[in-house]
Amino acid sequence: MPRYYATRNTAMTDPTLLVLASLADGDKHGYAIMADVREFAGLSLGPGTLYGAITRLESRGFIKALAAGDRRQPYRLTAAGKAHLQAQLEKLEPVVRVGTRRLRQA
Amino acid sequence: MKWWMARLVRLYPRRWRERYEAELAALIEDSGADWRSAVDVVRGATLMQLAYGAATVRQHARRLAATPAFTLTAFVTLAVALGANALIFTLIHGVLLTPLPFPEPDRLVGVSHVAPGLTTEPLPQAAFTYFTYREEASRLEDIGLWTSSPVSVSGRGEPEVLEALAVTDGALPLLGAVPAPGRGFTVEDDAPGSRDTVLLGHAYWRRAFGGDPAAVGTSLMVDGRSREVIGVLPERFQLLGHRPELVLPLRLNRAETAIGLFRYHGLARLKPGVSLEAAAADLARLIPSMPARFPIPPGFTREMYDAFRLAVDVHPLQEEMTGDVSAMLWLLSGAVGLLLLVACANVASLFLVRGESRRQEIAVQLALGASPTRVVGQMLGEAVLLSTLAGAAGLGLAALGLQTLRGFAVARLAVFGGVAVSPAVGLFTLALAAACGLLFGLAPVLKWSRLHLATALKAQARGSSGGRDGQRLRDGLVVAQIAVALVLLVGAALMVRTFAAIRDVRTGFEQPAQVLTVTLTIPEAVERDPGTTARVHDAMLRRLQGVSGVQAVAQTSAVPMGGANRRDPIFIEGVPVADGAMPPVRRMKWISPGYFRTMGNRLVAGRDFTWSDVHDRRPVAIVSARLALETFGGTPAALGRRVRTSPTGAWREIIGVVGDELDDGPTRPVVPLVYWPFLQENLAAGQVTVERTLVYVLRTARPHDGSLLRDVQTAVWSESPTVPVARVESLQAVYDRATAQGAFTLAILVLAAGCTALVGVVGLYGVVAYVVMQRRREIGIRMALGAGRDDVERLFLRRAMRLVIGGLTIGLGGSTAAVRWLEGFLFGVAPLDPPAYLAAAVLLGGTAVAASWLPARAASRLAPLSALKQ
Repeated sequence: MPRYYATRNTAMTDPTLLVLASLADGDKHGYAIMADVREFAGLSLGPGTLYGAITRLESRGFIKALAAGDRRQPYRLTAAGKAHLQAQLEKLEPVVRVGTRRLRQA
Repeated sequence: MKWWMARLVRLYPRRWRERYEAELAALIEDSGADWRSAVDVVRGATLMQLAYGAATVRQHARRLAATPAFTLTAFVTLAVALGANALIFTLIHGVLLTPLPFPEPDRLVGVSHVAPGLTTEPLPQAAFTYFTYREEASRLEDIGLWTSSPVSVSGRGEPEVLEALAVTDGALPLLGAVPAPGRGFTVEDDAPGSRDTVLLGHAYWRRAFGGDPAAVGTSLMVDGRSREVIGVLPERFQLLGHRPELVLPLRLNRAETAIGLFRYHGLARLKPGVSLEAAAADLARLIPSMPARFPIPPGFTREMYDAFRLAVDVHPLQEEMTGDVSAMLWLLSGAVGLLLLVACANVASLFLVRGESRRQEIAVQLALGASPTRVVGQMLGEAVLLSTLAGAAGLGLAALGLQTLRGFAVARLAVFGGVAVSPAVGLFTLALAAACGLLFGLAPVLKWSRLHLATALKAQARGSSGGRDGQRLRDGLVVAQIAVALVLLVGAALMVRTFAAIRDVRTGFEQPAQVLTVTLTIPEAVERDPGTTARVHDAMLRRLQGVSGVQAVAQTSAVPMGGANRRDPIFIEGVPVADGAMPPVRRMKWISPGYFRTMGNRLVAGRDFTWSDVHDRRPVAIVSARLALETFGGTPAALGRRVRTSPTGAWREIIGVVGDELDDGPTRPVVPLVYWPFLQENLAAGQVTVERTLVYVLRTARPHDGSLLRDVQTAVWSESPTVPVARVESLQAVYDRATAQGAFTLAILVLAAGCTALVGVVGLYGVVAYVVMQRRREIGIRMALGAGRDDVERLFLRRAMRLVIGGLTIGLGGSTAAVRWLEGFLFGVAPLDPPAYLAAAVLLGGTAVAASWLPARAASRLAPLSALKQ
């Protein structure tokens, strides 16, 4: 059973990063992001956590709301969001690489 | 979505919901609502509320920072006013609202008496009343007596004098004070003839015994008598400001108790549910029975006892601590409350002015569809933020003020012992600050609510002098500020006059700063014989006369204003006492020759005591001028008359009349006094008595420092090495203590009045300056049309004068009404003292006119063209 609430703001489980990663392959609305994150990260974001992240990301201009057909509001990754995600992942990459190698050597 | 989930979603900030609520609801419907998602929503809503709140505060702060002069003025004004209120509330909270540190303090009462037929002063408890109440009262759990006195302890290093309480066995248990280690007093400890015991105060146990539990069971030499230490009092123990170092059993002897001798404080614990009135009624019914239970001393009769009209007074124990301090504190809280009111009015007019300049901005906001509530919320938010910050600063100021107070005599009044800025004070101050913020934040809102959008836009474009409404409100606020400032200034002026009057009072001593007082006790265990004890005191005095720089030394049983009060009736030879009547009770002191000369009092007639009067025990007396006047009709008539204190004592001849000593303090009525030599034969019961404890008064120009104290100690110990030197202080300190409350009231009133006047005057300046700014165009036109500078100046001065005169008139009326709150604090000055009112009005009026002249003058210096161009 995956950990339900990603509360601590470590890079791996930071909900804003997860949302950005989820939107990287296309526009999604809230429920779709939730399902996608559960799928690729094994984490269930609660509705409060997810919308906290969405509010933060939208206010910083990393995602934007698209015209909605119904109440389900789709979001799209902006250029700034893409750059931010890129920068975060690059920071994470050496940690993953070195950590993995050292575990293998141990 | 389930209804309860919809409720939870509503916890989000309203502005957030306007944007996101629908999609969040859709998400919840899709993902299903269980308790875990509910918890997540609550958590998300809380974080969002905090984020939005912080953003709003940041926004308010940015707006405030954009107008630094306005913000700083308002902030300082409010911080000072709130600080003054926090300080006074700290005192009120610490003194009046904090219950006594005992379990169930509301059942603790003080029990004292009045006897209008004997004396106008309150009477405490006597042994005969105590035994009657303890044995017969049905509404009390228990009753105890206590008294405080210094005792000397020897045999542990240098002899020293300790503050001691003597208590009956019931006193400590009824307070709930349980000694540990060790035990408290039992009935046996308190019974005469049993082993002598003593309890140690916690601090003394630490200091003298290093906090060793083995101290219990050891013995201690107290006043030359060995006592077994049976226990240690709790660390926090204090009784009405007394923090005793030792507690002794009082040991009243039931078998030898007679009617008379009111000299103990009484305290009792009521049974649960018993009211003060019920307890008092219960005790009152016992009073008539007392002469049947205890013998009446020789010379007194049952009729005399009835003529005393002895009555019991049961009151909350806390009142004995707070007493007249509470009236002072409430008065001061009124004064600082007025200061705060004026500060609020001032800041409100600042906000009004600021509102004017933001008129257009707000009108545009409203035109673009911002909700009026949002605009109002914004203004209130700024006001509350500003006042809350000022409240926090005020708390800091209060803490500083309290620190400063500790340097003054008033802080050494026992009642202010444990006062500190507490969380309750913080809460009070911040709540008060927020309330003030709402109050002055509402001023512009009230105005805006009547604002018509179109006219606001137009008016601003035309650059006219602002709405009539705004002007009238600002004028009203200025008038109110000046009126309140005048009320406080009149109060301060009356207190200044009071203090000047107090300084002029003939106290019965001169230059108290040059008089050092030292208490010396010669215990019975050291010298039993009264005659020899008097010789030791005599020799000690001669040693002290030899200390370099000492001009004069004398002894007294009590220095003036020191609080000691020993009284007896005075019978006059040749004046028969009617059956059942009782001659008036007079206060008495026992002194050495040279006392009046040392103190700087004058001998009005006759002569001083001599040393042969003392050692030969001659039956002589000296009386104060007031007593001579009241009792004999004048000084000449008093000389040569003979008096005594009981119907059986020996007659004593009045050989001198001296100037009055103001024994209760400079503002209290003159106390008639009788002085006896400190060694006496047959004063009452046919025995020789000596004052073992005497206050030595040394007049010296030397500074009262360590070197003088060492010289005094050396002189005393060269005569007798076991006599401790205690209670060393200057007579000035005694005097300062007696006048501390008045001085403190004066200081706070003057401070509050000064701040209020300053704030009021600054407010007037601001309003005139603002009007000048608003009417620049008009001034330009007037001057272009030929008006002179004087005309322009006069135009604004006239306007300012109208406000000042209005404020002063209302203020004078207010002062005459408000002065009745101050009446009890005045001395030597009438409540309607014209000079005080005149001085206050001239001072305030003058400053106010000067303050409005500055901007008026600036207006007249405007260049007509530049004024028109703008």
